[in-house]
Amino acid sequence: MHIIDSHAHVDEYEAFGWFDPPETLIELMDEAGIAQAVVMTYADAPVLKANALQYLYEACRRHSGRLIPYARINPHAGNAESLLREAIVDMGMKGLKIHQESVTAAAHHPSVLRLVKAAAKFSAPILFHTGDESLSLPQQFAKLAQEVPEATVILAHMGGYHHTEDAIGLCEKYDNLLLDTSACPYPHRIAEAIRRIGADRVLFGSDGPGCNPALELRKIRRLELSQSEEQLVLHDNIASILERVRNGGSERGNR
Amino acid sequence: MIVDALALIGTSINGYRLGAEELLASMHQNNIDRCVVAPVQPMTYRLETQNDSVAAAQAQYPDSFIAFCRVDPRQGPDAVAELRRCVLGLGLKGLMLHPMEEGYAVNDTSAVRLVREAGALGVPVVVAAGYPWMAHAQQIRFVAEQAEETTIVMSHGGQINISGLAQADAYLAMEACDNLSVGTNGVYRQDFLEECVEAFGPERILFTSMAPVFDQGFEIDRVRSIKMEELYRQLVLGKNVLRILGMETEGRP
Repeated sequence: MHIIDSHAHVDEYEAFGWFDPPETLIELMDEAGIAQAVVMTYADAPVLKANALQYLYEACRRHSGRLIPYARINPHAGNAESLLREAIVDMGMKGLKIHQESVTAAAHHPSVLRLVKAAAKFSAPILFHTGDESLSLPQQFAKLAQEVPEATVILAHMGGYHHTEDAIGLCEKYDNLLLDTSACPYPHRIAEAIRRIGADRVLFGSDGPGCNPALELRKIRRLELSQSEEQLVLHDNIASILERVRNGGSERGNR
Repeated sequence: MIVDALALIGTSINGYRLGAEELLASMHQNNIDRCVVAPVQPMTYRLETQNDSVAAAQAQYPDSFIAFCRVDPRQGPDAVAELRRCVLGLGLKGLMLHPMEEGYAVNDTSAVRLVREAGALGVPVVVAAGYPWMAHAQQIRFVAEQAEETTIVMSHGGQINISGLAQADAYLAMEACDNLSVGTNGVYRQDFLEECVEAFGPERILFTSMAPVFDQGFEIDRVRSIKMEELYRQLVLGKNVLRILGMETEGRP
């Protein structure tokens, strides 16, 4: 099976103490049998790392066909929308990543909503961090889900350690929300999510290389899904999301 | 020998349950030889009866279970008395604290007193760790500094933060206190555990599943995914906890 990891990282960012060049991830992908990975930096452009998009672009260009970039952008930045446009149209990036803790904005913040609407115009998915921290709670996504129903919003980590039920419940309520399995420590809750919202709305993600992609993949395999469910979770769901992205005739795209 | 250094048995007021026989079946399925068992917080709020229950489970399955008591430090002198009853009277082998579920800060004076008493009795303490406000790694570091004679194990790698932004706190706590170790259950980013092995040695990393909150089978997969020497993995998977409990004298290979 052609497996696509929908959530991984490449970056070398001293402030967080994480040095993960693309080769680190590629090696772990090879160990795990993962063909492609959606990747983003740890640092947000342009505030934490001015050249974050260029770094990501170059990393993915070196591993064309293996790595698929999402632009991680601070929505408070005055040029956030133009950066997003540059990332998608000029650099061929396929989505937007927002990490509320590092940009100090919850999902309902006006600047977040503005950038999400901009991404939705390209049909680009928006991957959000979710967890137990005060800016990352799943219930904070209700306003966004209501106000931007056309956006494809992926809730990473399924709500972390203590907000899994909120994440699944919110997806039951809003069709434009999906879940990724990365770092979710509870295999049985992934099975439950598939049962409650459908296998077509749950995406395999590893959050590698810090989280071991092989372990994250074993977590999915432990669920003993049907062949068609596994095909959706490990490939088809993210593949169809990426196919819908409108790059506007990108010249530098990473396809 | 594979030893799970923490599982919880009983029916918890917090909505999870695990019976002794269910745990034995899971251990068998996952090739786990022995397991540290501690009580849950029951519907009655009475931990004493739960301590009696884990003592009975240990007596019934002495080759499989190593029982720890669970005590609420806010009960003051009664808490110390309960710890002494469990260790000296019931033959329990350690103390488990769950500040989040009981509702106290681990660095409260009463909790520090209890942890020091455990050290005086020669038994280790496992703390359900990582909960901000209640059992953050730096709060546990404070306790460890006040109770240098006590071996303390922080579950969850000392952190419950799926951004990874609490790793520095857990790392600093480990760096500051030799009497601190970490359990592996649910740890976000396995490279944190790899860094701990490299910085502090494999002796201070213990396989904990914290079943049934976490899946015992998946948690052993987590330990097997840590990139380290196989001899070190044997320590993490069981020899370390046996050494801490004085049940095996084998040290670092």
